[in-house]
Amino acid sequence: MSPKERSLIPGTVDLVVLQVLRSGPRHGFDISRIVHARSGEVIEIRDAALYQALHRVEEQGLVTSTWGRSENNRRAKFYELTAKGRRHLEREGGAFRDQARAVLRVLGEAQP
Amino acid sequence: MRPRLEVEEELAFHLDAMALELERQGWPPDEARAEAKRRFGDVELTTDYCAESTARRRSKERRTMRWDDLRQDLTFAVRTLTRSPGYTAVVVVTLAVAIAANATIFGVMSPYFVRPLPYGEADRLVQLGLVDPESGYDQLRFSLPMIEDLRERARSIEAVASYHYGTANLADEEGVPERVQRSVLTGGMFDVLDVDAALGRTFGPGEAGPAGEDVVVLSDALWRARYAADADILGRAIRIDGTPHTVIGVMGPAFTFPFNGLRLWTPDRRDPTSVERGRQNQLPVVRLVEGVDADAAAVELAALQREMAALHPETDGRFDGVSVTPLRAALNFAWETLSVGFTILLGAAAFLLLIACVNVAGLGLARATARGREIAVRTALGAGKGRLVRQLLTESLVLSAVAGLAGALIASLAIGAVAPLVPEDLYRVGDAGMDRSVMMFTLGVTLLAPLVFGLAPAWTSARSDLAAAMKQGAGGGEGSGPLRGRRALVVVQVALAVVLVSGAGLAVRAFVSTRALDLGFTPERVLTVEVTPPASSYRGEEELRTYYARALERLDALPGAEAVGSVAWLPMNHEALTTDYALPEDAGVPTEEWSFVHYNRVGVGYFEAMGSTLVAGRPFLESDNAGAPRVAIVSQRMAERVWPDRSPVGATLWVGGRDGDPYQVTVVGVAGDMQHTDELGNREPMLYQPIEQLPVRRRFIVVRTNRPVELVAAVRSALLQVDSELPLTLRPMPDVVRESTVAFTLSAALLSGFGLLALSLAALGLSGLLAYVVALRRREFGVRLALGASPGRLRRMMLGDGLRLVVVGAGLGLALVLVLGRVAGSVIPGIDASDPLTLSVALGVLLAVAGGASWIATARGRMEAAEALRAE
Repeated sequence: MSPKERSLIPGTVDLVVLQVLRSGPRHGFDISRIVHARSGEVIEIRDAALYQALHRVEEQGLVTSTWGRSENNRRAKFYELTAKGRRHLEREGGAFRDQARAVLRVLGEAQP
Repeated sequence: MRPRLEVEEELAFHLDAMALELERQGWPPDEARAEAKRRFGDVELTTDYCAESTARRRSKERRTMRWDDLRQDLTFAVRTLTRSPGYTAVVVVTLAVAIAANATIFGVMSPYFVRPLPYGEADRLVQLGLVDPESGYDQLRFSLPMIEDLRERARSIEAVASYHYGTANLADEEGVPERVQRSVLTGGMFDVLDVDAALGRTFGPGEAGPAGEDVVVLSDALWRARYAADADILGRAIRIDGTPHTVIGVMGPAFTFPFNGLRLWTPDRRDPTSVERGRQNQLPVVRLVEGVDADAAAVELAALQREMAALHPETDGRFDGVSVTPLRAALNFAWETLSVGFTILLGAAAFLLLIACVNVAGLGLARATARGREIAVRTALGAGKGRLVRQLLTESLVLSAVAGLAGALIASLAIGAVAPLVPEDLYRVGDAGMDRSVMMFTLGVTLLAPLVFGLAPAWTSARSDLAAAMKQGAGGGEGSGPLRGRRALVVVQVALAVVLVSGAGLAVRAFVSTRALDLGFTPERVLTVEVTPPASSYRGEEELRTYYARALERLDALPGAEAVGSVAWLPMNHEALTTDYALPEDAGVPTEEWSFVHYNRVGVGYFEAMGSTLVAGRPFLESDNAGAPRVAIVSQRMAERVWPDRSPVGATLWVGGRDGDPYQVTVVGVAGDMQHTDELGNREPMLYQPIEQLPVRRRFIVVRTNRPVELVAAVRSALLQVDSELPLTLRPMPDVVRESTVAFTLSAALLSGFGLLALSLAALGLSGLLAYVVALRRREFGVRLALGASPGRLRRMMLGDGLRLVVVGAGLGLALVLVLGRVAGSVIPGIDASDPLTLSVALGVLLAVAGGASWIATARGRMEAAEALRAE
């Protein structure tokens, strides 16, 4: 299986979009560009998955949305991190990192 | 926007942006579009997923919003109400009383009408009765052979069993022998009723019949009272009427078949085929086949009965038809009276609630106007009309809820007080109390009330012109909305009060008249003893005659006994018999066409003992015995009816055409009319025959004495000396009479209570309105006073205003009374709702109260008007 086609750990995409929104409200396309820019070489996150994640975290109350105007004055849906979302990101994001480091340590030690 | 559309727009934006970027990278436009879609992933799937997510999110938001609103409304309502404690208290008390009244009536009646019978599939259980074609009486009993015939041939009958009841002597090592009520059931009864014992088992067909066993099932009450709920009671032998019976089971407390007070059940040990066909003492209980209703069964059974009548003309031929009554109604012999009484009382309570709601609505309207400024501000701040109405309704709901709780508490006490007043031997399921059905009922009423009284003020408050009017300051004119609404409410209130007060007045009148009723005898000086010498010890007429002669002799000798007598069927004891008669000149007329009259068989000394008078001729004497010429005494009304222009003494009469061979009797005396049936005020024409010429086994001995209750012990011991094993039932005659009339007195008392409450509420409402109007017109009054109008004139003006409302309301009420009276008259014979005395008194009282209320209101008003001027 090629690196790009490996399936992600569940919940990863949610964390990714939350992280992107940390720096401020954005619309879906913007989020997609940033995600692809940062991760496109190693893993591929389809836009479909991104949008599903966005709606999921909105339903969970981790983000809110408003309709506004894009850079070229088109109607677009902007997402913004809520306080609850911020807390969730810190907690789960931290847990993800800790888990990853632990796995890396194991792998690191196991390497010949 | 619809969720799906929104998602589609969001994704469209993305795809367009992606396509644009691809174009910038050099892709041709249409290919850019396709590539954008390809890179995206599954657009359809994503749209579905996101649309569902959005829909869920939105409904969750809506729900949260509603809860938030509700919480806000409730908090606000509670805060507003606590700020006006006077208003809140009055409303809560008014509603609580009305709700309590409704809950009490429902609670008292629930064991009779609402609670399900403790038998399996009780709606399929019915009781049968034979119909007497002449009188139409349809609860005559069957004999065992008759029931067997029906069981074999009737297709509507899934199962049938029968019972009779009476008293029995119970003796064992436990203690003093006691006389108890017991019922003898044929073998299949417990199966028909589909009930099990709570302890041990019930008996079945195996224990019945000649090959059966002497077993007994105890009632829960007997088990607790006499045997202290001993768990080892099973297998014990107890003596019933001298015969040992083995206890095989104890029923649960809810099983009180066929009436409360029944203590034992034993199986019928007779052989159904060898019992005399004419011995009709059985009441059949039938479980109808599934799907067959009572009417269909009645048709089939009537046809069968006619066949049987053809085969057995001397026994079955005397009846025509079979009545099928649902078991609940059949077990309760006062069913009709009780149903009517229940409906009336519940109607009155509902009326009371209506009055209370109208009253509260009026108060609410006044308050709404007073809060006009506050409402206007809130409207300005953006509260929608709907929101406002919801808010005010929430207030009403809070008030009602508190009132409901208070009402339920009052009701639980009241039910306990009123329920014991209903006669004990009317069939009911369990004791009255605050059970689930009563609580549900109270809840329903509590939720309904705010809709009635809260809607008008809420809707009025929300109207925009109110806000505008408030901006102009105080002093809405005569025709302004809330004032007009309130005046209408007072009119309605007065009308309802008139109805209720009239009803109460009628009830009081009926009650008073029954108290003062001339029964034709003096119950307060009579003690009755019911005796049934068993056939085992007193086989024939001679033995009976001897017993009764000795018993009466003993009793006559007692100090305190002024006179003694005996009678076959005690007056006012739910037993009334009739017989046919014909004048000598009409003897040739076929017996089916003879007239019938109520009749009784009495012994020597009966009339004297009862305190009744003989108007002409002579009473029965010792010489009017078995071998002597047949004689009779007629009551005054019968004398007037049959011999209008002469004295009947010495006249002859043919008697008993259909019961057997008619015979002639000679009238020897005329007695004063005595009340015999429950139809108070109607002392039926009666024919009396000497009991020694037509003896019966069970008789009532009547003893005339100054204080019946004091003689009970002496009478009992005197009779026990004659025969120590004989079951006796002693009852002072006033108890018998009271039980006959209790439905009346209870309803009258309750209705009067309601009437009083209604009156108070109406007065409250009226004075409240007048005070409010005066407050509204303070400025106007102040000006008038300043301009020299006399305070007296102002007061008269206010009074006239108030009285005008009352008159209109009274007129409306009177019309309602006449209409309702006609309806009631068709249901309850003898009610005359248009009785002028009652109506005038009711109106008079209402007007007086209203006048008083107006006077007080205007007195206050004058002071306030003067103040108003000073304030200006």
